[in-house]
Order: sequence, then structure tokens, then C-alpha cells
Amino acid sequence: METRTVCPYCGVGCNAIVISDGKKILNIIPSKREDINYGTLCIKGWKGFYYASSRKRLKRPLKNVNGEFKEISWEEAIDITVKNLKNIMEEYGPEALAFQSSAKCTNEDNYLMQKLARQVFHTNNIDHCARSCHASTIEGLISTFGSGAMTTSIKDINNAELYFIIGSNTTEQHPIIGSRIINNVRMGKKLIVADPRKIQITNFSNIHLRHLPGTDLALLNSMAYVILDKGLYDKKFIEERTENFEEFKEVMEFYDPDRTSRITGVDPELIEKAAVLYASSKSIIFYAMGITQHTQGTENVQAIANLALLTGNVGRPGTGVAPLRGHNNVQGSSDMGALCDFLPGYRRVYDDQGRKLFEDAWNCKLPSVPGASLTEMFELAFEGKIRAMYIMGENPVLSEPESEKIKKSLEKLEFLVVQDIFMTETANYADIILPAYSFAEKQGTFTNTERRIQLIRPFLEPIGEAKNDWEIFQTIANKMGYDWHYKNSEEIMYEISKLVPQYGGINYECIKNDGIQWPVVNCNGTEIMHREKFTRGKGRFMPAYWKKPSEFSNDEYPFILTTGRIYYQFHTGTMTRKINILEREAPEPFVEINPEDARSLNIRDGACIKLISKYGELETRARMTDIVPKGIVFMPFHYYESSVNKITNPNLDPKAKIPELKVTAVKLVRC
Amino acid sequence: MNQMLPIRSKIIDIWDETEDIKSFLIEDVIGEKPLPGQFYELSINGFGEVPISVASWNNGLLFSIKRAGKITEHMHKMKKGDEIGIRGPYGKGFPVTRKFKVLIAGGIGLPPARSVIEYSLLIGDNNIQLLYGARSPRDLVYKSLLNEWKKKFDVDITVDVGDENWKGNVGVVTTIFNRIRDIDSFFYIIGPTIMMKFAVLELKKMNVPDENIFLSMERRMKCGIGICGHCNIGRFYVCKDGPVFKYSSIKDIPEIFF
Amino acid sequence: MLYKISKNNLKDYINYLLERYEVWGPKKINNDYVFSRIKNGNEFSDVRTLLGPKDLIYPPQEKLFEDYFHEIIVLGVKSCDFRAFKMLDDVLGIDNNYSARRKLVHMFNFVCTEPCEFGFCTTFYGPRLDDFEMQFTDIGDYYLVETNTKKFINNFFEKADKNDLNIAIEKSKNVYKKMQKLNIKKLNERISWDNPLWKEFSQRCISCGACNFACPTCFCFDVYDDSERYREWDSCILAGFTKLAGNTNPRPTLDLRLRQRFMHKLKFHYENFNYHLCTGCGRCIEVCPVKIDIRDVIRSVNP
Repeated sequence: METRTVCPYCGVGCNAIVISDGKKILNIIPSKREDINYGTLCIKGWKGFYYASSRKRLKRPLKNVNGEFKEISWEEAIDITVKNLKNIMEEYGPEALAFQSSAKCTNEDNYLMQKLARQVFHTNNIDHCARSCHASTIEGLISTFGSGAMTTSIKDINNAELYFIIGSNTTEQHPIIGSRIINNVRMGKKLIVADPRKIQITNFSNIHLRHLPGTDLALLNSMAYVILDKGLYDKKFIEERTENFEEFKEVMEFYDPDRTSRITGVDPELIEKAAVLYASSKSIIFYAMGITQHTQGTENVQAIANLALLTGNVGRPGTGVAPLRGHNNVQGSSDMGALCDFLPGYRRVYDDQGRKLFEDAWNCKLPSVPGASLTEMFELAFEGKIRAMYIMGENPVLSEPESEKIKKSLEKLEFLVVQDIFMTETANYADIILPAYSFAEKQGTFTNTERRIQLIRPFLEPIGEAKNDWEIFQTIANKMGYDWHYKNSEEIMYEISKLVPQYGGINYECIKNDGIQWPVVNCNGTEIMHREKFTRGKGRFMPAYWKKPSEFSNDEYPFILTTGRIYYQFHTGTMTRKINILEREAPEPFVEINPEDARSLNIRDGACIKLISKYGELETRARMTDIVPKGIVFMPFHYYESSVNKITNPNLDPKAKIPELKVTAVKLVRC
Repeated sequence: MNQMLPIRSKIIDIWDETEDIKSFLIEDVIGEKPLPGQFYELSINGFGEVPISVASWNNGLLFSIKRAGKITEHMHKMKKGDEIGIRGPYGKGFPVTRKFKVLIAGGIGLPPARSVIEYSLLIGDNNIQLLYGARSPRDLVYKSLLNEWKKKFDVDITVDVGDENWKGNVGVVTTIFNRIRDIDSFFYIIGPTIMMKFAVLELKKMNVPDENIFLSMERRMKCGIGICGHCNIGRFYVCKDGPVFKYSSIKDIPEIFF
Repeated sequence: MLYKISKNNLKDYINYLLERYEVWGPKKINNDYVFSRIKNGNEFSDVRTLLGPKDLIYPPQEKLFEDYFHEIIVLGVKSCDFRAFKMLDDVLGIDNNYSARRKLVHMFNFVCTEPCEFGFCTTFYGPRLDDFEMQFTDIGDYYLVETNTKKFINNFFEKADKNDLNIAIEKSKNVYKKMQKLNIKKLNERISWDNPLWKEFSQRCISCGACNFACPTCFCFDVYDDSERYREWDSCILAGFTKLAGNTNPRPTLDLRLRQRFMHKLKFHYENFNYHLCTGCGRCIEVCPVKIDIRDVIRSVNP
């Protein structure tokens, strides 16, 4: 049989057709749809779906009996789960519980998990990995535009004249979007890349700004300075569509490129060239973790939005601000309110009107104080304040900073239930493990980075006794006395469409062919946002002063460690490390080190090297390359053998609560 | 018959040669006498297969295997009597000739050289000279055999790094090329690619014709029968058209040495 | 033998086949066309799909020692794919699974009468085959059917004559008129190890492997154990393809690997078998995210 589905890896959301016989995949064929992946896939699309039929899939619920996992029945597993969560809630209050949702699961799964946390267990302690990736985007773009998502569409990339990529290794992380940009640049469009590393896409950039990690705000403000100084700003647009321009101008006066070059390390002439080019073209800014994962992540995002407002580069075809969302459904899981301070549709939990909508729909009172964010959850667990956790489809032991502390926090919990498709490093700490459907067995929706809600369809039969994620929540809710009776994921979407304005009125019928981009009104989607007015009315300039990152290279720790991803593996490797070819291409951890630095430390290529930070130390292999400049080392976080998050910087952006993973001060020694 | 299906055999004996090289004597369930320089695919269920040159075939097939990756690491933990899969013999080996043969072997290249030596001695041919280089005295393989061979033909040994007891030559194998008896010989070179490259360079300086130089090439192999594509160099497949190649056939291919 | 079948009867003919065989063919899924199993004559579309039916004889992933193979009919195969199988026979013919399936899979090819977007098959063999099981050509209200066996003929077919054949040949010539024929004279001798295109391509290639996976003539596979022994389609442009234990690699950089792909197809394979390992189907160009084009390689050698 042939099934149309959406790739479960990154936020591009490539469409593919899977030929299967229900038990195994027979072939994978990319969709030719021009507006997303035009007949192409990256290697994870071609080779990466097979994890779904791996022998290692969790088949039965497991119970931790003295360190060993024993198979138990669903009845027993649900009983134990409900009993423990209920007792802890009753004894210590709902704030002693915490829920972690999954950006890899469907909108329907996420919606029900946050409903479970809020309606059934009365807590706002629900969060997920979006916190560590684009939480600053949500805060930053809501404050400037009113809406925290990519303002334009993937196919609109073809209409732009200039691309400005900052903090995104696009050809490795969003390969099909990176390819589209390259194709356009080869036809004459212009490209500016701002990244400390010499990533592949710089092969095509007209200007490569190699700034120091943690200096993005200074860099962006300098560009704004140049645009203001040279009068290249869009006066009409600013007058008609924005507010707070005067304050913005005042703050930007400090950011003369001649001065900021001392901060960023970038030649002021280059900044000038980049700024002029950006301002005089129809431009789209693409950004990712290099911008968001900082203590000034929110301000960085605001600075990007400011540039777009300054030059009228938003709300028109060929322009926009494009946060590249990492996971296949991190946009959706954020839309569904699996966040400690947002209800579905980005209403704040303390917004009485917004909360009332849900209180009426769900017939209950809802907590109005924001809950614990992802990093805070582990802090509170470490302090004994959070006593139970329910984690779905996430592996925080590898993906969050201070992993040693996280392990201790998990050990301290009275009760931990993990719902997943494979045993993970986090699942090892669980009391109960619940086996779930992968994307291959379920129907539901994913929302990709261009806000496109797309239907995924099952192409494999369920494995063992695994259950659909939302069904498991329904069983628990029922056991807790709540009459949830969704018959299928479509019914869940029906409820969502009534409560989440961006998903207003959608149903599987209208999304089943090509998906639809929110905001949706009566099954009409929105390709380009903020066309007549911004979601918040007028776009607001939000200027900010650059501050030093929470730590920087110093005498004791002379190098800066920046982390990221590579092309062949995905995040904590739960899926990609089960695939022969992907594991063959990138089998082991490494740290990229500049050859000059390596020589001065007497470290050979491939030699064992120890990285030490304030937070811990680890050993891995050195990879000499001039992709990284002197003074900076880069390590991917995919490998449990050398988990870089043992030593990364846990300091948070105060608004978005996102850790400064991109700047950690380290010292390097030979093993 | 499925050409990729290994035949069940078992390990008759295992012993250490050096710190990271072990010898495996495997029951010859195939019964086809291999030619010197050929190889077999050894298969471990659940781990995979490795292509290993046969060192000797007296009362079983002898392979000397260096611990280098996941599969060989597992093999080093195996015991006498354990099951192992085998298929082969594959490839084109060294030319069998009574002409004088200079064997230049580096490190783990000695086992295939041994196959040439034993085959030749068996047919009463001791027109052989062995130049053997290893990393250090501790890394020398077949130490007792080397002494036996010294009685029958010239054996010159060198090590990259000596120790307190080492009295022989210290230096890479090209440093003992001055001991080559007869320049009008066939030269069989087997060892790490970098060693082969410098050996060939040195022989060319000595004006040895391309047709007299034979190399045992090394590439990633999976099928062993020329259909999976991994060992393709130029028009050749190392598993099927090699692993032994006359230098004149491959010298115009830029990627033979790396 | 020449037959013809009216287009109206084609659906019913397929249903007739379905009573006797498992049938696969191009199916429309939303706006895409893929080779999939057909359960009803209505489901068949006479179109060119993005990927050919290579997976039906040589699957992207399979257990090596499985031995259940069954007979199927594949309709709507394009000539470029059909010829590719003849090329694969020369290499994979000794393989147990490939040769078993090859015997059991019947392919009915449909001749193109219009060029496809990226195809350049007229450089090699063109849209008509001289060796086929059942060759269908759209000649208006009918399909001309050329075949050497009566096995699949039933009473839906009428006898056709030389005139019908001429119409079919004329229609296929349309492809020659509209498709640029590249110069492959002495391509295998002239293509060079130092062609600047290798470095140029490596600047933008994202190592997706799609060129190898979509190519009907690519045959490389990797073998791995996961409690049982499997093999899967491999791509020579990946670093792990040639990486040895000990981390050395004969082709350490992408430009060398791209070079291997093109030179293997256009030179090395030719030296062994006297034909280029390419049928000009253009799929590698179509599935490449950055549109690396094998025609540019051929043109750079023979402008």
C-alpha cells in the first residue's frame, strides 16, 4: 500500500510516500510538491524511516524492579501510574508533578498531554524541548510581531532577493531549505551568512560574518546602526506599521560598527556591506539555535525582528523572518500549549480571558500561575519539590545542560514514568515505561516550520502492545475520573479547532491534500503573515543593549565551546542511531578544533582530548578542521558516549528560560 | 546457491601472536585449496563479516587477525570450538612462479606473505627473500617461523622503533631495501597503504619495471564477489580482480594510495 | 508479433491480469505518481513516476537469506528503467535474491512519446526497446502492443499491422525531435580525473544519496547484521562507503566521491562491459536538491 506522510525528523516537513506491506517499509518516494521538497529528501528522509520497525522498539509496558525492567500488563502499568501521580498530587499538591511533552509527537498528542496536566492534574508544570530551542523566538517575536512563527513560507524563498542566515547551519540542519537557498543564490540572489564556523553554505555567501559566539546582538545592532546612518530604512513602513521607533533609534546610536568590531571581531566594512545589502533588497532572515540559545536569546530575536521592521522586510512576498524550527512538530507542540506559561494558541496562563475560554470548554478551573519550565523542573526535582515526572518522547539526560544534575534529579524523584518508542538514557531512570506508537503507526498532524499543518498517516501496524500516545493519556484521564472519549485523533483536532484561533475551523478534510498554513479561517490558510497588520496590530521595535554572555573565555578556561548538530544524526540519536548507514557515516562523538589550536596544545587529529568546564569534564576525540576559528571548539550533542551537555552552560535567558548552550568556557587538555 | 551465505565452520584453535594480533585456525569446510594471496570472508552472526587473507592451509585455514574494529574486537573474545561462518576463497592472488620473489611485508602484511612462502616451499621453490617491517619488536608476528625461514632463504627484519634487546635494523622497511639480493625479481608488497606507497617509490628509484611489482590492495569490502561496489578502484574490484594487482595495471589510477 | 488494445479496454485488461497475478503500476497519490500495488484497473496511470520500479526486483532493504519470492507483473515501466535492468543483470545476475526476483517479475514497458523534463535517453538508447516482454505505445485510441509471447494476450487484443507500428515509431521519434542528444563519443576515454566539476559539485552537494537511490542502474549495497544479515542500497558519495577500520579513507573528501560516481558510470563500467552505466533517465537530476546534473559532466568532456 502507498501512504502519504511527513518526515519525522526536522522542521522542513518534507512529504514522502511510503510503500509498505503493513509490516515493513518497501520503498520511500519523495513528493514532487514544489512548495516544500520538490521531489527531494535529505539522507534522513531516504534512509531514516526504518527505525520504526527496529527490533529494539518497546513492545510492552515495563516496570523497574530493583534496577531490572520487567514486562507487565497495561492494566498494571496504568494502575501504578495513576496511583502514584494521584497520591503525590494529593499529598504534596499539583506543583509536585511535572509533565514533559514531545516535539516529535503529533499536535493531538501534545494537546491531550497539556490537557492532562492542566485539567486532570491541575498543574502548569508542563513543558518540552521547545524551551531549549525556540523559547526565545516565542518571546521575541510575540513582543515584536505578536506571533512567534516563521512569517513567510518555504516557497516564498524563491521570491526574495537576499537571504541573511544567522546562527543556522542550514545545509546540515534543514537541508532541503538550505538547498533551496543555494539554488536561488546560484541563479543570482544574494546571501549573507553570520556564523563563527565556516559551514557549507558559506561556499555560496557573498558575505560571511565570522563573529564570536554570544555577540549576535552587537552584530545585529551594528547593522541597524548602518541602515539608520545611511538613511536606508523604510520610512513609510515604519510610520504606518510600527511603534517605538524613537527609542529604537536612541539605543542603536551606541552600535557604530567601528566600536562593535571590538566585541564581535568582525571587520566594520563587512558589517556595512552586509547592512546595505540587506536593507536594499527584499530580504528574508533565517535563524536558529545560534541566535536563540543565549541568555540574551530573546533580545537577539527581537534584534532580528527590528531589522525586518526597519527595512519593511516583513509582511510582503519575498521578505520575512524565518526561525527554523528543529523538530518535525516543535511548532505544533508549541501551538498546542505544551509550555508552562502558555495555553494552546499562545494565551498566557495568567490571561484571565484566555484562560476562561479553556475553563469553559473543559469545565474546570485552571491554574493561573506559570509552571516550571523544562530546566526549572529538574532544579525543583533536585531540591525535592517536584516528586513525580511524566516524560513523553524526550531524552533530557542527553539534550539538556547539566546532565549529571539531571540524572541525580531523576534518581531523586519518587515516581518517574517515561512514554517512548525505544529505551533511552532517560528511560533507564524510569519506574514505569509505557510503549508508544511511532509516527509510522499513527494518524495525526505535524506543523512544520512554515506553520503548515500536515496530516501523517499510518503505514505500519502497531508493534507488540504499544499504544497511541493520546490513547494512553485518555486511559489515565478516565481512570482519574474524567470522561474523555475521543474516538480518534480527528475528534481531538475538532476540539483544537474550536479553541486555538490559529487552527480555527480546520479538519482533516481540508488539510488532507496539501496541509494548510495557520492562521486558518474556514480552511483558508495564510502563506504570508502580517500583510496588512501585525498580529499585535503594529510591529513594535524592541531595542536592547548587548551584554556579555553569562560566561566567556578567560584565563582559566581559554576556549569557547559551542554545541550543535550534524547532518547524519538527529538530536539524541534515539532514531538515527538505529540506522546502519547513518550510524556508519557518523559513528562517534568528536570535537572540532582549529588546527593551529591543536598544534599549540600538541593534540593530533583523532587523539583523545579532554574538555573541562565549570560544570564538568568529558573525553572525546579531536577532529582538526578549519571550520572552527581559533579559540572556538564545536561538539555535537548526539552521543551518550561523550555527552557534551555534561559540561555546557546552564545559565538561562530570564524571559524565555532557555539555556546559553552556545557559549561555554572550557579548557582543553590531552587525555 | 546463495553466494552471500557463509558456510558453518568452527574455530579449531586460537592463540596470541602479538598484543593486538591473534591467529585463528578454522576448520576448512569448503575444501578448495586457496592460492597464495587469496582471502576468505569470515562471518560472525549478529556482528558481520570481515575479509581476511589466508596465511596458511595446513590442517585447517589459518588467519592472523588484527583487532581494528567492532567485528575483529568481538572475534578476539572468541574461544576454541566457537562457531564461525566462512566463505571463499576469493580474489586473485600472487603469481605462482619460480622466478625470484622478494616479499616486502609490513605489519599485518606478513600473514599473506606467509601464504606465498608456504606455497613456494611446498613445491620446492626457495627463490624467496623476505623483507619484513613491524612497528616494534613486540609487534613481530610468527617470530619462531621467521627463524625457521632464515635457514631456508634470506630474511631481513626491521622495526620502526627498537627496544633494549633489539639488535637488528631500526627504520621503516624501505631502509633495508639495500639488502635486496636480485633486482631482477618479482616484488610482492603487502602492508598498510602508506608503506606500499613508499615501497613502490623506492623500487621505482631502483628502476624496477612496473610489471614486476605486485601489490595487495586494501579496500572496504562487503560482498567479496564484486557486486556491492565498495572496493571499486578504476575498472577493478579489489575483491574480484585483486587483491593482488600488477603495479602496471593500476599505476594510472590516482586513488591507489591514500 | 503486433497487437493493439483500445484504451477503453485497458482497464478491463488490467482487471483480467489481476485475476491471475499480483499487479504493480504507477498510481496517482494526490499529485504524485508512484509504483505501487494495483488492486483495480482504475488505479493504473500511464505516467512517468519519480522513481522507477528498481525496488521491485532489488529492494532498498532486505534480509539477505530470505527466500520467499513471488511472481508479479509490473505495468507502465519506462524503457529507461527496463534497460537498466539489463545492465543490472550483468552485475547482480550472480546474486541469489536479484536473479530469483528477476525471473518472477514481468515488466510491460510503455514507450514515451514526449520527452520528460530531465531525461536524455536519446543520448543512449531512446524510448523504444528492441528486447521486451510487452511493449505498449500510445498510438491514439489504441495502444500498439509488441510482444514475443502470447502468454499475456487475451481477446481484448486485436492484431495490428505495419501501419500501426509505423505510427508507434513516429510517435516515439517525437522524443528524439524534442530532446537534446548529447555527444558521448569516446566519453570513457576523455573524462578526466581532474575535471573541475568534481570540486564545483562538492560545494553544494548535501550528501543525500538520492542520485544513487533514484538511479535505475546503481547497484551498490551495504551489508549489516541486526540479529540477521541485511543489505540495503548504498551510496558511493558517502564517506563511510570506503572508510576503513582505523579511520583512513581512500576518498576522504566529497569531490573525490562525486568523481567516483561519475567516472564509475561513464568510464570504469564502460571499460568492463562496453556500455555506460546510464540510460539517460534524468532521475538523478530530478531528485537532487541542488540539481547536480550529469549532463553537465558529459558536456564538459564533449562540448
